[in-house]
Amino acid sequence: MRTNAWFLGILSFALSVAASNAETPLFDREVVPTLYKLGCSSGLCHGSFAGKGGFRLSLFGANPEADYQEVRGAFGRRLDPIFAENSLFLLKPTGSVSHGGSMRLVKGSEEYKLLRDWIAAGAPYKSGAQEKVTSVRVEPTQFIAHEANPTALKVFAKLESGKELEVTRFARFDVFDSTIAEADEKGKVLGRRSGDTHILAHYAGQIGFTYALVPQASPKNLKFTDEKLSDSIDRAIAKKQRTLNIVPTPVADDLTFLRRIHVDVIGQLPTADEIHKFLADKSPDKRAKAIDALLAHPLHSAVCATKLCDITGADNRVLYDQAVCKTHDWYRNKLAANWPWDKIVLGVLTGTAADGRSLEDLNAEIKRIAEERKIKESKAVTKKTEKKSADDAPREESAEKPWETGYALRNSLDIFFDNNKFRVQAGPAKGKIDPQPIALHVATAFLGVRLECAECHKHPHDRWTQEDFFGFTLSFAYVNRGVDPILKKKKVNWVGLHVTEEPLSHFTEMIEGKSIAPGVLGGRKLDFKPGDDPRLEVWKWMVGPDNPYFARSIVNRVWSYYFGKGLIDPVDSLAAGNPPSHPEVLDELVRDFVEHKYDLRRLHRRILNTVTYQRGWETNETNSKDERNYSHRLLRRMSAEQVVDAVAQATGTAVNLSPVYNGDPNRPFQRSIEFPLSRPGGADSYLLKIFDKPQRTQSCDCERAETPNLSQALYFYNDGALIAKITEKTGRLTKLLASKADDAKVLEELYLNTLSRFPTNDEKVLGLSHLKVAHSRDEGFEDLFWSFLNRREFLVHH
Amino acid sequence: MNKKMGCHGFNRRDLLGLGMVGLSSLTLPALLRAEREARAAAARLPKAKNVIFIWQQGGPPHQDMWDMKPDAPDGVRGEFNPIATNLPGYKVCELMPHLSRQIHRLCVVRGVNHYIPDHNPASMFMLGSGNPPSQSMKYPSWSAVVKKEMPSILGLPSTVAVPTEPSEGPGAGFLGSAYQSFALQSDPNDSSFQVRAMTLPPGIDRERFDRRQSLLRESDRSFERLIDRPDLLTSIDQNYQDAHQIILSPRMNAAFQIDQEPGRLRDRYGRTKIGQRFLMARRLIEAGVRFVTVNEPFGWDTHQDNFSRLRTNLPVVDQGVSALIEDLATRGMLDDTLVMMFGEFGRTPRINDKAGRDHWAQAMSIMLAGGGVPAGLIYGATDRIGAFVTDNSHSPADFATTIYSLLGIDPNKRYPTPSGQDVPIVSGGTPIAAIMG
Repeated sequence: MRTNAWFLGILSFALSVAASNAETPLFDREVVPTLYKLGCSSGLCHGSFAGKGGFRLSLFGANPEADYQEVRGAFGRRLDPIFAENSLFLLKPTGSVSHGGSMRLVKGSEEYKLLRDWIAAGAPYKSGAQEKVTSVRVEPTQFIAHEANPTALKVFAKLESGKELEVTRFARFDVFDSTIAEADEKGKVLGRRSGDTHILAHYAGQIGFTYALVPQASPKNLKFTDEKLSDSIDRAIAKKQRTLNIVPTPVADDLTFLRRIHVDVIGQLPTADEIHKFLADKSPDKRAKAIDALLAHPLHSAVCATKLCDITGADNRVLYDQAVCKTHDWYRNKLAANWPWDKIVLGVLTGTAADGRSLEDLNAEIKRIAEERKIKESKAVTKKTEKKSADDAPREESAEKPWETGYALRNSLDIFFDNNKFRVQAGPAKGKIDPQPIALHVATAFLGVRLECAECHKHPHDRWTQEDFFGFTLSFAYVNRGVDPILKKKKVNWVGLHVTEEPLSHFTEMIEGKSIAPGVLGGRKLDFKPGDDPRLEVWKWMVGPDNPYFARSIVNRVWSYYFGKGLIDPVDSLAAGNPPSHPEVLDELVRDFVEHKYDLRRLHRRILNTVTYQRGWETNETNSKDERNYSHRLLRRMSAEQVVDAVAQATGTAVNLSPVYNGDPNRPFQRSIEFPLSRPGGADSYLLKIFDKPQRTQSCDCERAETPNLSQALYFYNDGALIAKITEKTGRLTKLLASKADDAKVLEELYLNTLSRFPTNDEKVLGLSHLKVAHSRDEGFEDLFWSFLNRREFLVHH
Repeated sequence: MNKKMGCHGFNRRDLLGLGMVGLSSLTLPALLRAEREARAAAARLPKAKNVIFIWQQGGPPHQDMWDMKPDAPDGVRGEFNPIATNLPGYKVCELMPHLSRQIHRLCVVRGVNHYIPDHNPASMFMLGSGNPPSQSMKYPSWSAVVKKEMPSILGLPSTVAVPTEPSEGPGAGFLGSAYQSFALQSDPNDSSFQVRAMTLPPGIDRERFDRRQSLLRESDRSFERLIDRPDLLTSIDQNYQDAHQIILSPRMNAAFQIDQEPGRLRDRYGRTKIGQRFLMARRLIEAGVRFVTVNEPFGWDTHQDNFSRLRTNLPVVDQGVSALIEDLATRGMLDDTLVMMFGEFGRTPRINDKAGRDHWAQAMSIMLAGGGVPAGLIYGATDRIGAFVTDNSHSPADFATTIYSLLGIDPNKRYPTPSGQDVPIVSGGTPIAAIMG
């Protein structure tokens, strides 16, 4: 019986395939997207790695050929071409027979008819063949979503030939924030509450998007003022605010501005002197001048170097202290010289121990190292006996700044590849360089792209496949440590990171077992000769004019640093499914950045000079809930390093941080932002820890938290260490009390040095009256100083 | 703190789907019935008052611990032998001899599973009260819900993390950072262990402390010109209030004095990071803390070298957890204190070429004890290679519903989110009757 049905099935298929006509639904472009739209191929249903209920589809319909085999498989029991409606393929999702995934398909719906017609036509594999879908776009590109009157979206698929097809009925719509707008399966959108959100349209593995704006009621008592907006970025942001009826807060006053740029650009509070000077300056461009001065400040490059250490994994648990210091020094050196971003990344990606030096230079270096070692060994003997006294001696600062000499002057940062996380941890290849974590790290740090998903399957929010992932990984498989064989042939015995002729690893694609060649994301294979560095080819691809990630990623990161939120957010999720909140702003910044040869300082300067950056934190009833449209400054907790430095600066005490594993105890630094280690020792390391300094263990920007916690409150409220800083003999308060008899003057100095402003009249009265009830002048001022450090205004960057 | 977006493209629609998959029957009445049952279960008197939650970050290998597969083929079976336990017929890994004698107090759940073999979203799933991770929403962790729902004692934070909350989880999620646990920051096994700023610093007496406090209260007018006070400020305010009460109450500080414990008991827990963290957890519960999260010092993400890493780590866990269970039982605390131990997923049946096991979400093992869960119950089973659940399969939401019901917390209770949605504590779970007891 069973055999008969099976036989009949095959026979009728054979007949009906021949009979299929032009109206037969295309399998790859219509049937598979429909299954995706219905949710059948999602990760928790049949798209899961093992399938569900013995039926497995490729995740999100990434592989129509495999899906075809599966649907037609199981001896044809899923399809009944004669009585199409009796096919298990239709009975299951309509809930006519028991289905673990509930009712997905309504009998008689368009989707139902499509699947039925396809089965009735003999379930052929009819495809667009040469006409692969290259991209998807949605019309309109931005629209106002009304509460009663729906907007109908249209989705167009672009084919390789350049032809476009409307595919609205096959697309799956996904509203990012469905409390703002809602889309039905036909692409009709209704607004639900005021705000703006993007809407994605998925089709055939590609993603298009549009923006739905739902304006709030026009403000009653507020008017949009005619601000002078000279930068097109400001104008684009203001335009959207107007559409949404969000009235922005005016620019902040001078002192708020001054404190903000100091904390942001160099990680420090402005000094009392700087405050006086800025207020005295009456020139109209004084803000722009202040910005320029800070961008040229030595600590600005330390701030950026710390950020780059965060994103490139300079953790002193997987790298030696010395290596982390060299990494920070190298970045700081390049940033201070304002090296173009593409050149910095070239140095990181293509690092070698030889660093492009000539044979003579390398030989001289070998000689020098040997001599140094000799001297060190002879010193080590005498040092042992002297060790104790050296520890007791006060820290001696060497005159030489390590970020201006030695390793920091090199062209490339080969230390990046020394990270212990970039090694095979076990098995026969233990200790060898493992290209996989390198590729993941490079993609996240320099492209803002997360490839983790593509390690196992096609990326759901993006276009990456396993082949992309392994091809990209292989591009990093041609480096090794040890004696450089190419230099050895030239009679130079050079040891360290070098390029190899053969890859250290091989990969095959999991499902079909194809062997994979080195490539870049997007599939292009690299063209290089043995001995060439494929990493250089990767870099060329990154900086190529068509690369949609490289410049966008850093521009978005810099923006996010200043606003606490990326135009694309999170910043390490540049994906087709995660469009920017203000595409025209990002495009303009990227255009300018690339046009000016990846000039970082210019990028920082432009952002800092915008009205958008300089707005006040105060809110009005139209913008108090806004977090996406830059209508007011969003309050943020100061970062770990900012807190440590602000406390040190306010109290006039030294930052206490020290190396942990074989670091240089005499390393010169004044501020915590200059201290390279992710997990330093020393008394202030506790403060860094409770304020969530990232330990650089994950390649994720989410490691740096900015949330308040109880330990932070306890520290400021009650920790003996803070009391000690306040009362320190050589600290600010002791000195002020000794030098100034006028209490009002002392009070003013303390205000300037903690809150970066003058006390109000009320505050003066309150402060002076507290001194009267205190047991002594010292005690009274200690209490006042303590209370300033404990104000929200001190801790919250505004 | 932004976490990675989910790997498998889940969204709200999928979320609804999951609930339905878990229910297996699809009708609305069934859904309503499940909701009713859950509510009824929660309405019963809570069995558990306290929780000690041991988080095994990285995904522990179920088949090398609680779900041994001695008959599986080479390349799957693993290097360890099963040993008999005090529950006839049930065997565990030879590296867990102490726990093998505690099975009469444990409930091992082998049927909970999900579909996300990726750390961050899977951690969001298992730490975020069994809610599937979402791009636009962070669901509150177990401890955040407990902090919100259960009464606390003045001067004692109701939730504490030893030493910190899992960084890969959602934290307090949309409830806001005031619902985070108090993190000790330092390790109770360190000779210099100290939780800082618990008592008044030298030179500050109670009178001066009060004077400073009122000075701060009167003078701090920061950010008054905001229409809505953002979460950042309300959390800081809350933390200051809590800090004030903690400093004035001797209770919290007394709980941290781990050196008051007899040396023999400290040895029984093990003079290891994890051992002393467990002992600290017990002291905290004793003092009145409702929920202690113990974060393990080692990762379980054994892609490489699975077996030698387990040889090092598992005996330490075995000693510490068994000591904790025994100690709680001896003190009569196990009846109303629930101990739960799990990670974000299990590990692959197949052993890879680096002697490791990779991520595997379709099977995992959860250890429970006390708090009213049946003792000596091995619930759920997997196939012969430990790949798929063959018996009593449950979603993380089912599991979360069960745990909250045991605590007397209504899992269907809805919270408003900052964006104005009403979201239940757990979406779409059904309590697991066998564990509800």
